[in-house]
Amino acid sequence: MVTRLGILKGNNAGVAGLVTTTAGPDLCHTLPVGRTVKIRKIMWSNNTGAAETLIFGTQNNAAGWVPLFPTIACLNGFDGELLRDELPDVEFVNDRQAAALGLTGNILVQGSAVGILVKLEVEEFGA
Amino acid sequence: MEVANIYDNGPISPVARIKDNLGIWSENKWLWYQIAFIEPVPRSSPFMVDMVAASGAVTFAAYGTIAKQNIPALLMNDLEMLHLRWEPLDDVEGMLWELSGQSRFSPRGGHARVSLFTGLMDPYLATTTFYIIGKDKEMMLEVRNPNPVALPMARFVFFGYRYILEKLAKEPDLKTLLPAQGR
Repeated sequence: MVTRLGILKGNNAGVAGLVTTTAGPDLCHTLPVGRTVKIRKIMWSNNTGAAETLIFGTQNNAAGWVPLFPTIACLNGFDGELLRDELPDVEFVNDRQAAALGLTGNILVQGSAVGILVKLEVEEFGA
Repeated sequence: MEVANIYDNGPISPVARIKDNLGIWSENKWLWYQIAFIEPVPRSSPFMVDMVAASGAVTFAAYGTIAKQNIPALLMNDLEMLHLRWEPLDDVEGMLWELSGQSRFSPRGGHARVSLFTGLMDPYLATTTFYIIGKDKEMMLEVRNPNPVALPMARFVFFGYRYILEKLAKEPDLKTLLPAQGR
């Protein structure tokens, strides 16, 4: 298999980069025009007082939630991480469909509660 | 000393040896010189420029442009030549101009940009090679931010060789031809 080369970045959401979940889909990385992106590392910390979950995905053009990763369990009082080899090779793509079902390619996280801290490392592909 | 082809895809090395003759395409004609001296310009902080600071700004807007401007560290005297390769250190794209009116690396279809991706498949940055010859022939650098967020810096670094040249009155028989100007 050919391995493409991209540039590694922290998440790029227009905020400082550390995402605190609000129990709604929260933006982690905004896809630059003309590029695609893969998640290479996920780190989280759950100190909410209860076991929670995270799901990573994207949004369609109607701002509808589109999960792309399976549910990740986050034990209370623990941090956790998933590294490149443990992550599916999901490529976030702006699929250019003008219709509502077109995907933005932005990376979002759906936390089951408010207050889970999430940090991504991503690899962007382009020119 | 190794002598490179001018766009050698390996590490940068001088285009010719001391006392070799050069034909340089500049000012829309071939100009004839002999190399009197060569010294390296290592990749180092004096040849790194932050174009955000250089433009007087404090931030680089999302998908923004920093208008082309001269890089003072790369100014030359008459009968001097810089032979350079370059890359950005931040996720920005650089567009090379000769003076302010002539785009470089610019086929009819567009003006190429040097980005963080350039070095991924061209690790010696051979395709970024360009030359600055003499006084008042400076390069200009225009910068684009390809990101949907603002950036605090847009750093570029330059490295290569500096030559001192002696002008020749006529075309020598043996010479290395150097297309230093876009055409």
